[in-house]
Amino acid sequence: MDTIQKQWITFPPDWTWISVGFCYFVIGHLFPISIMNWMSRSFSFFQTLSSAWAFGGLAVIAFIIGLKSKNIAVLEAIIACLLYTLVMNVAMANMWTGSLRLTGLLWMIVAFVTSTISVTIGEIVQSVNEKRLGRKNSVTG
Amino acid sequence: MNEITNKEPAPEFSSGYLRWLYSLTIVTLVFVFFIQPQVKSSFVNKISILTPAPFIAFTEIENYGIEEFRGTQTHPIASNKRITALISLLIFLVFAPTIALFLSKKFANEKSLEQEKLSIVKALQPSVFLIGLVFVAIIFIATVGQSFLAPSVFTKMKYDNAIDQERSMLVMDLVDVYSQIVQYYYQTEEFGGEKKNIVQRNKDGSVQSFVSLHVFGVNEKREFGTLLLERSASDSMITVYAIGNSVLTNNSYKNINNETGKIQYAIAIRPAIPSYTLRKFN
Repeated sequence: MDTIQKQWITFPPDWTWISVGFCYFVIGHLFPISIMNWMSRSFSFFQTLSSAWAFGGLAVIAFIIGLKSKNIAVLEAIIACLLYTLVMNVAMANMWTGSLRLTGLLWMIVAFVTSTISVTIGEIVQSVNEKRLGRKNSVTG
Repeated sequence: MNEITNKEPAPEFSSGYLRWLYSLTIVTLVFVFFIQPQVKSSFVNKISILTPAPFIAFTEIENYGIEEFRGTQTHPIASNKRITALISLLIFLVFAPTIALFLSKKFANEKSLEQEKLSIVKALQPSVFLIGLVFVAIIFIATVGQSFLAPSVFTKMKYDNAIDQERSMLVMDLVDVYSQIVQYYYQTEEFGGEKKNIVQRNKDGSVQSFVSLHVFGVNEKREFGTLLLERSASDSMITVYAIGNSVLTNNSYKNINNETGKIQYAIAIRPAIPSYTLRKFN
């Protein structure tokens, strides 16, 4: 019997998912954080929320990419996340602090680790769901 | 008869969804990097307060001498902009077409005509991504270019951050004093009269005592600065000055105390015309 083994890293990466992933990060991570930072001028609660979302948001979005992609999209999510953090680091360094900082690099490393773990969990959850559905279909079918 | 079909799997995203997503992303980036900072800076420079009391028409917190505390750029901005524009043009005219040509050549090498047709559809997707990539690259180059070409920007921004922090604290103090003055100073004569006293109330609202107005303003030391209260000769306007504690520069700007190097904010509180007129003719 042939067994189909899933590859965790598919090469070349799917550029559509990289671009879509980047868009997800911009819309789902950058936009809420900028709004929260703005609101934190009046309510300090939003400052805590934005710093939590800075890391939590990356994990949530990477998880969604892993869960929603039909194929394995681990590499795509990692590239999208790194591209996003790189662009944000550089853009924000210029806008608010004036130069690149080491913390930006650390943030990228943390983003890399977070997105890798989250997208892998997303893929695992997806495959578990597929297996469960497959069993259900075979029983009912 | 079973037909064996060898079709390409359907794409995960419809073109409409992708178009909508890319547009939303570009709008978000424009909002975060271009619109929001401008709105923020307009708030920082001038804060208008709509007063809760009907007899105070409008009050503004004005900044005096803030511009004097800005650091100077050693590198001319014009040259940064020129280099950034040059790099952006290079991306648009050299790098992007090269990548596009590379992609088209790669896909044109497919053997069968059918595959070639499919490859054109496939090639469209990276090209859409490339537009986004070029947009991102422009931001990247512009920001990296500026960061490396103008090292003084960092010093300037760091310096401005210190000013901003103290400035926001002073503004908060001013708003605090302002609310107290509005609440207590412009009272009718039955609560102290002649605008010289303020009234302190008990929790149930009854009058506890009359306190001199001066406890609020004159030479009051706070955590981030000193508050000074100045009344105009006609008693029609109160100006409260907030002077920062830190000496942030050796600038020659002099505040109301004739000190240099300290930032100063002021708030001018004016009674509205009806109450002022009434008082004048009485």
